[in-house]
Amino acid sequence: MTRRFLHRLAQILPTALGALVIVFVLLRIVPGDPAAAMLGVSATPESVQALRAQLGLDRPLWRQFLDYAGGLIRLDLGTSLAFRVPVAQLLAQALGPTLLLALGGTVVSVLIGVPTGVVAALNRGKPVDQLVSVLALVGVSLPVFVWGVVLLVLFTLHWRILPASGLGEGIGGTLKALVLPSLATGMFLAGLVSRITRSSVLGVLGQDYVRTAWAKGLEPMHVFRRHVLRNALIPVVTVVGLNMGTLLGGVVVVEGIFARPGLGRLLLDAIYARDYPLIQGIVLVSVLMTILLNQLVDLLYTLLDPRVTA
Amino acid sequence: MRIRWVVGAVLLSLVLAAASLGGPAEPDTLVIVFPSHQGTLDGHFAVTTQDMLVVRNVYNALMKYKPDTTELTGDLAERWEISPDGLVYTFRLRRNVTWQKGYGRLTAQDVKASFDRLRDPETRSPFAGLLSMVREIQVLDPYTIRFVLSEPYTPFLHLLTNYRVGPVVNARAARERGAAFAWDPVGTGPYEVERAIPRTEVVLRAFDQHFGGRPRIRRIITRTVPDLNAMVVGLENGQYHMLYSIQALDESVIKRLRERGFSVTYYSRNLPRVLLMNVTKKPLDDVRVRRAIAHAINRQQIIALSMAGYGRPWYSPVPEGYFAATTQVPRYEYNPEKARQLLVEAGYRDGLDLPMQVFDVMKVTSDVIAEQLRRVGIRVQQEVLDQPTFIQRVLRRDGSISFAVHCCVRQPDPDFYLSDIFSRSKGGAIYISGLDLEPELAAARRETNVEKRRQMYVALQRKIMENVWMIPLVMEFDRNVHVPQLRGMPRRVEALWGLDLSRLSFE
Amino acid sequence: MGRRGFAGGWETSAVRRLRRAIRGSWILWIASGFVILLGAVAFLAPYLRLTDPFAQSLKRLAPPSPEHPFGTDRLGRDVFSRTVWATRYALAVGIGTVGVGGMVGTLWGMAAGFSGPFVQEALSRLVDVFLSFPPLILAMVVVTLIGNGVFPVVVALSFGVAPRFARVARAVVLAVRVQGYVEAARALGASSPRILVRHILPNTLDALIVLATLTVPTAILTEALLSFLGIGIVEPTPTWGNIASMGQMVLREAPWVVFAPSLVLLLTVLSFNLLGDAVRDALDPTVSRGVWMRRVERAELEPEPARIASRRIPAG
Repeated sequence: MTRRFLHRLAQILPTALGALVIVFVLLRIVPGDPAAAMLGVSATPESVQALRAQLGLDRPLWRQFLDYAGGLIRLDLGTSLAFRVPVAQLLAQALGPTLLLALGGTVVSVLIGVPTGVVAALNRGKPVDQLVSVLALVGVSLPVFVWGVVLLVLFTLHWRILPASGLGEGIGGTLKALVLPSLATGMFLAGLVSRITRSSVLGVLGQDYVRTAWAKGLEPMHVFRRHVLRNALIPVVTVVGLNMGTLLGGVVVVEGIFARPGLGRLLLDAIYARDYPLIQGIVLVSVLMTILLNQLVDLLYTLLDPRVTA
Repeated sequence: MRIRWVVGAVLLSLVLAAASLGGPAEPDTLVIVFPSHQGTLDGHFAVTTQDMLVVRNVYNALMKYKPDTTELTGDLAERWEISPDGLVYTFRLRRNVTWQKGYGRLTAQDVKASFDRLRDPETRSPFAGLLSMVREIQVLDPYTIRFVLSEPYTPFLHLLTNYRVGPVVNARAARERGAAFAWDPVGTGPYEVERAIPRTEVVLRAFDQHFGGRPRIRRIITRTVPDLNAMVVGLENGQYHMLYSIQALDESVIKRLRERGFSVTYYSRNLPRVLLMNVTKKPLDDVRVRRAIAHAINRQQIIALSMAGYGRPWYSPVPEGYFAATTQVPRYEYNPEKARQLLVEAGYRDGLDLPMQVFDVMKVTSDVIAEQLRRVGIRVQQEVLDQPTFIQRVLRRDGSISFAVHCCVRQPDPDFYLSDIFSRSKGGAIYISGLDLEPELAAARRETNVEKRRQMYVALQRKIMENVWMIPLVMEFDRNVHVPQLRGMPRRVEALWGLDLSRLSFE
Repeated sequence: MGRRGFAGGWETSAVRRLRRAIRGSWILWIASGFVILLGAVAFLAPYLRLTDPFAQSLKRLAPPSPEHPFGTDRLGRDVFSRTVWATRYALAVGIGTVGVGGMVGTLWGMAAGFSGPFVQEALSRLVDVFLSFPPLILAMVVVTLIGNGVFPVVVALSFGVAPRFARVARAVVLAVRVQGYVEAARALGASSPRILVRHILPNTLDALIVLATLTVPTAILTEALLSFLGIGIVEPTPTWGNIASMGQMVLREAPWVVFAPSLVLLLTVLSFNLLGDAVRDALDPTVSRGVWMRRVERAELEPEPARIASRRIPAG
């Protein structure tokens, strides 16, 4: 078990490191200067120089990278240039809301996508099937910001039942504040999941072993749950895993619309301020999230499909 | 140890997500929101208007402006004297000033320590250079402090207001807290910082021992809400009480909020919007081209389209409300025909291609102007930069920023502003012109006779406008939307950044 | 009707199937028509007698009228005209990204497929690295580095698209390499370029075409998100994303500013998606492609194709 874990780690590390190096180097050759950003319109050449020195930006590139890499091992991601607090602190602050939203979006996509896909598959060719397919296609094609803005206005102003912004207080409040953003974020993936579920269920339904089970006289519902659903869900898991990156992209936009202080907002601020350590930190975190989520998907395979050896 | 810290912070953030960060406000609390985040609350580093909103109220300075005016008066200073040669400034301090958070009474030594900290190379405050004319700071007795300058500097008193070099910070606390001082400052102002979460909110609590008296509103929370929609909805839902300095709010939204009973306060911050250009390079080195541009500008349209109507056309280099502001300068009225004519005269019969650099805050205004110029045959190629890149390129002084819409608030003395634009040695983030008017500016800086000084600036402004070395556009009004119960907002002018929160109260 | 090794045969059968599919379904008919219309509009935009998309006026936020079919925006500009002009940028980005990213990715993947184990491993790791960046975030950072404009956006989006092409290309090359006929051809003395062109390329094209047609709408959508955030193609250049972004704040007062471009965007992406589905069905493996195509599809859908023994994943 540990060996498997270490093996996974060995797979993740080079990827993560590669991503980090790329981001680090590219950010250094960028136009724009964090010191100038922080001083704003009150900057003068001397003050910018002074600030650069204070922030350690005048040291050679390799030196800066070594310091940064060294810090990483200690889980020290450096200090934010714009906010003068540890990057790890800002990331930790922002991670919660973003993870919640990513989770919410995924849950929404599965809750909407799987049942609709199943219904469509079981009613193949009938109007229900066509309706679901159209809706799924619309879900996949409609940009996330339209969903977000429409939901915002409909549910917070027209029918004032949900909060328009912020994170909410208490468990109930947090959940209430999660509903609309999750719906907006998850729509795209819901459409995908619906389509994949449909074709996957159809595929499995045509399999020999399913027919055999039916022929043997097993209860249809039982057959369905044990055989059909389980196997049909495998590509769904794949698709969800593959599209985590896109989901995170949607989260960035939705966080802005619903004023949730998560990684999306943090990234925009960091880019604006040329806050190198912070940008690196965010990219690193999102890369790690994507990688870990993919590993999670792999793990789910082993649960769902006994033929797969982890 | 770090791992535990990070894990703890992640858990904490999840808990915070479930905890109250957006709860309904208690009646005794004022919640102010704005779209951008604060960078620091350390008075010697604060730059943005959101920083200043808090800094203004956490610290005091030696001087301040009488409310709703641009008239100087004492803040921490009770009396002051200026020597006839303009080199020695002596201040007698108030005796009843207490530091926040238990740091005792304020003495002249503390004030000196604050300025020493500012000028200490170790601190690396970006504003240290602004006090280069101060040769020495002497403490004469526990309540008397003296500044000795190396040359006369007439706007000196303005420098000592609560902006950049002026805030009196507790140097001991700064030393003790180190980097944490940026979010846990100690001053003498009417509000002290109870809690600060960078990028999210700052909670201020009334400092009852403030020498100016007990502030009426007990708690003030300033919060960053990046989305304008969410901000407006929050105001309508009762989550927020004031939208601070909302220049980007569309007129139709303001109208709707007004109809729903909210108050819209606007006042001058002596904030100009101007067109700055490099007049030493083609094609802008030809005065006819510059005049053509000036005639192509329709200020009313700029105000209507990009400022929601909250502005006033302005034609002089020194912003309205400053000392030596005047309207007795050559004016170039909106006249597209004349503009086209001038271009033909200058040899641009088929129009002219003009690069323009834009930084995001000025985007909409730049778009409006670009379109106005297009109508007279000047094809503007916009290069949109964000503020960091823009400023860096200005500071590089390589001429890559040659034509841009700009703004900036300074203390209401023309020296700061004009030097920044036209002095090679003192110019800063708005030195685009390529000119050096330092001789005239230095002379005006040193002139101690008020009337003579005014005349010097008037003459200088006339010269600037005769040559069209810059094109003033509008004076902009600061705009706030708030609940009608809030009283105490400025009516005419707020001479500095931020608001005096101690003057606010709920009816 | 298979075309293993025969470069000529597949085109006619696939295209025939595609045409039959479109003719048979009225939805696909409309979708293709819409796409063609978009292309025409994008191309002809300067010649149509549209209101100047940059002309500002004091008639801000005017509701739709004969003079302004989609109303006006916050600067008094005609939203219809801007929406039409935005088509050019959307299509340019969509097709440009697939072109650039597709080419780079295919070469990358084929290089990986052909190389020895060490190089292949390195190139594949590189694919993993780039695939681990969420595409929008990657695009945001890249655009910040290079600057704003159509070309930077195409480059930025290509960073996210190329690895996916690389993956497919590599899997196809690998799959085809183990096919008997490649060895046979080699045994018969065929040179590598000849193998490449006559055997590998045609097999690769199918998978890549499917990927390409489905990448166009993704690219258009991602660009819309970028310009909605104010990054990439910025004002005053009109894109559907930035028109909607400017209208966000006045959604209640002037909903047309958000909904008009969003509707057009929706229809565009929808049409491309429908067509993409049709293309995929036309080139569908279960009809005539054969085993190798299945493996390609699996490669596209799974992280480690080699690990999973023999699972059949239905196309869809």
